[in-house]
Amino acid sequence: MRLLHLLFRKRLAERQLDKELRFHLEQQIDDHIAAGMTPEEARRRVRIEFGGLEQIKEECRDSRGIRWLDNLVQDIRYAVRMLRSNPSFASVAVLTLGLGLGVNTTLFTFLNAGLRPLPVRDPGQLVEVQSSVQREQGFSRPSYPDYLEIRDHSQAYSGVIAMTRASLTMGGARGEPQEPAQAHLVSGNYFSVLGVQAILGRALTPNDDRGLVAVLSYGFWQRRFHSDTGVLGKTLLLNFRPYTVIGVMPPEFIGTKLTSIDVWIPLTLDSEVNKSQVEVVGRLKPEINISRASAELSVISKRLVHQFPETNAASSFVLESASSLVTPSPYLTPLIATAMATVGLVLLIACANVANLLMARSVVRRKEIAARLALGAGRSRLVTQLLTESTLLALLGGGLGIVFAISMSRVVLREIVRAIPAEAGTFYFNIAPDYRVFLYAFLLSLATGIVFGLVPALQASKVDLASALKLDGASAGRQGRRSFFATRDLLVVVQVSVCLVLLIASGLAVRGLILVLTTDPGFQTSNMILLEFSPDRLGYDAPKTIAFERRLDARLKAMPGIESVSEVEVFPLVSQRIVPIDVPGRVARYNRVTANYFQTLRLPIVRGRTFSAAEMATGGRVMLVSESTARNLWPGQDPIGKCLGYGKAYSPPSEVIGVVRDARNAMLWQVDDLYLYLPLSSDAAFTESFLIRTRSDPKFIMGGIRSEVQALELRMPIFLHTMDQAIGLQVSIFRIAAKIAGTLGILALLLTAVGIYGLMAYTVTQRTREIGIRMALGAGRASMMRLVLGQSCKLVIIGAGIGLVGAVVFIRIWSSLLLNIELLDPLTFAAVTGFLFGIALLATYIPARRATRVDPMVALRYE
Amino acid sequence: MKQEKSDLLQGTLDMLILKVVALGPIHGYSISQRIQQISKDVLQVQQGSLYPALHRLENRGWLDAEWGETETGREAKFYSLSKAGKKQLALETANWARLSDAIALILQTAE
Repeated sequence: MRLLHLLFRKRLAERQLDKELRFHLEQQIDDHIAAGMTPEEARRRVRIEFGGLEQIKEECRDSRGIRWLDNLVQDIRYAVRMLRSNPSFASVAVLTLGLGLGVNTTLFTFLNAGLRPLPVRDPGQLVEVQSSVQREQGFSRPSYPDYLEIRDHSQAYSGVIAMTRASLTMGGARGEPQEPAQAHLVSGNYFSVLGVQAILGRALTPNDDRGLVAVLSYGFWQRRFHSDTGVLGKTLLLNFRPYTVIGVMPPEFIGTKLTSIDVWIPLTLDSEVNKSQVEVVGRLKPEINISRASAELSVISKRLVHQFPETNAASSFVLESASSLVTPSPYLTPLIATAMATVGLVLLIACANVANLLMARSVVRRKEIAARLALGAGRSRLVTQLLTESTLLALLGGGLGIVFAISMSRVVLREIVRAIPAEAGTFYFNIAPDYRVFLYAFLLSLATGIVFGLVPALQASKVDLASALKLDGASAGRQGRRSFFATRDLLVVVQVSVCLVLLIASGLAVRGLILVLTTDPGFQTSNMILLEFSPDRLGYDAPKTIAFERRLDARLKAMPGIESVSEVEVFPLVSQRIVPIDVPGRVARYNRVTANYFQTLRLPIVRGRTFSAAEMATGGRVMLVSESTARNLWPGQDPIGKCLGYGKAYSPPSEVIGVVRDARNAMLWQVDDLYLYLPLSSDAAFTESFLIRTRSDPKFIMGGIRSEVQALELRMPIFLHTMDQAIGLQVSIFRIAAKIAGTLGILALLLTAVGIYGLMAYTVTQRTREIGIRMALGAGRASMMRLVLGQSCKLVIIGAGIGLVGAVVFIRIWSSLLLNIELLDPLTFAAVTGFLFGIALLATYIPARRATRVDPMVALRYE
Repeated sequence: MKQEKSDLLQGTLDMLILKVVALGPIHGYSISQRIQQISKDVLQVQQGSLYPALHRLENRGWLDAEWGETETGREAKFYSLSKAGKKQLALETANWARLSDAIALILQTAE
């Protein structure tokens, strides 16, 4: 406001200043006349006394404190004029910066979408109750009875909600096709505590707790009902129960966690609710802070241990902020930091390019700058003006970057959504940029403008006036070469090294993808079918479930295309189980399997034996372990007959009866260092999982399996996939990573090539006369070529050396954070370095060839 | 350049201006006359120092300014002391008194 006011008042202030000084002059003249001088003499006297009127005015303006504003306006006007007079320079610079800033803004768009406050009332008040036990594995949550206890006996909250996720079967009435739907089962107060309103119809209320009602997510409403406003009152068959649609949520609300969501239904309808773990989120009362609430919670969790010793024996609860979809964690924060560093490197290359351009230009502008210095411009004033120019460039680049980021983040999101299998539900992630994205792009552009502008500006203003004004452009350039050269060389070295880091990273991501696509996980994934069914959803009790299982097992085994069927607790490479073992600080991955699991998967037992029928029936305390486990726990000893405790209180320990060949059970890129195979108990579970090996292409057998299940129970909810389909998600993570890293790498390479080309072309132009003289004195083309190539090679070699070291460090950090995978692959390193050299030489060759084509006569006359 | 024009210690001009203006609304020309008169022609204020100082003091909020007519019927800018200016004047006067006492003390004891 003050600025506008000052600008507006400027003209008035100027007039008044003039009037004030004029008054003084006239008054003084009058006094002199009164003292007896002639008017002419008086005027002359006063003029002498007064000195430079303009200078006084200037000082008055300075002391009014609006000087900088005048300067700014003047600088901006001048900068716009400079850029418009040199459109090719301006567009190359803006494009380069736009790419660099755009990549950074794209990443920020995603971070912002995950980390910004939830679109609910006062998100800062939300906290989640988490179990402190094995939190790093993130699977232990409060139970529903815990929730009730916390909700009813805590004073710290204005409301506490519970939520659990479930994959439900949608449709399926009378042979109609079934499809999965991702549901959030929520307590009745969920929407009122969060403070979210439906955009159509109404949200769930505590009165709905016993009702068959559903609220749709916006994405699901769009996908399934094509945004039909007549959806209210329609019936949705979920797990074969008719739910009435009562409302649709706004697009930005997708729950409190980053997850796929189709519908919200009341939690209390779930028959197993008392056994299930729930996510518990509380809204703190305004006067209560998180540490006070935590103190209260620890008292409650102690009481819960007495109340429910079975489930709560080893756990206590802690509070964590739940104000955004993603909350920073010790795992996530370094990951975000390195991701930002990666895109920051791209921006650094872009900055180096533009700084290079600016320096080349400042040599051309030497005369202009010298003239301005000679006319009395201060050095700081000149630097400010040059910085205004670079900042203007950066802001234009930032504008382009935002446009780039908006379209780029849409592309990336589409890739991610495509990678998520359809049955995982409607994944909606709001990446529409908000003011934070614009603010980020703006501030980053400002900082960028200063970073790439400062060094050239300082250099440019260091001009020896006399020589610069006298000399022509070419010799001025040579004169300045010593100081300019060092900085410009350094920029190319920085570019080459940073570019190499990015290229190696992308090369390794591509290799990782190839590895994942081609590596044998240790067992055969082809011709495997995963079948999961949920008898509890139909209200089956344990005996009925077991009977169903036996009958289905027999029917499947009788099918001609099926080789073997085994039962598992979880499917390998799809989900994982983790359990603490009685080696301090260690946890192991495990699976519970039937005796023929190893045969079905074609996973060889290298020593010992599989479970006997008796052990399976009684759930004997026996286990098989992987080779790595044996090596890690009992190095140099025979693992057979060793005992290992696991789980709660580690007792009683189990005897190792066999050793299984190493496999990648959890992640395709990693052999598990500790993996236990335990006998699957014959008790009924929530979901039953069958692993089926077929004799031929499983696609042709899946239909048959479905009809076998439906022959036994038409309404049985099933999940049926080939194993290759199910592990597709892991592959697509690599595919996306390879695409992103590849794009960044190519972008970096392009920018670096332009940078090297620019520097060499500039150098050759500067040295045209020198080259001409040398050639006139008899130097051959080959030696000229060597001269130019040699300089570039020196820079590239230094840059590549630094880059290789940087890459090793950088890749180490990345892989330890993300993949736990040894990625230092010499082939990739060598190939990428060679490739970079090739591009660098090409970028040098074109200007170098021009140098050798120089006609000595022309060159000698050249400016 | 500035120091040559003004024989005053740096900072003292501001104090003198505030003191003179404290007597009532007054324009720039009269301020320079008044300082010259009161100091019995010892202190001469150059225009090149006076006007930047006035504008600086106005900008800091120590002086208020308004346009009015002089006795000769000319339009002039009259300065008067603001509330903040009064405080500043008191502060600077006290500082000055302490400083000159201290200097006098040193000069006497050194004899």
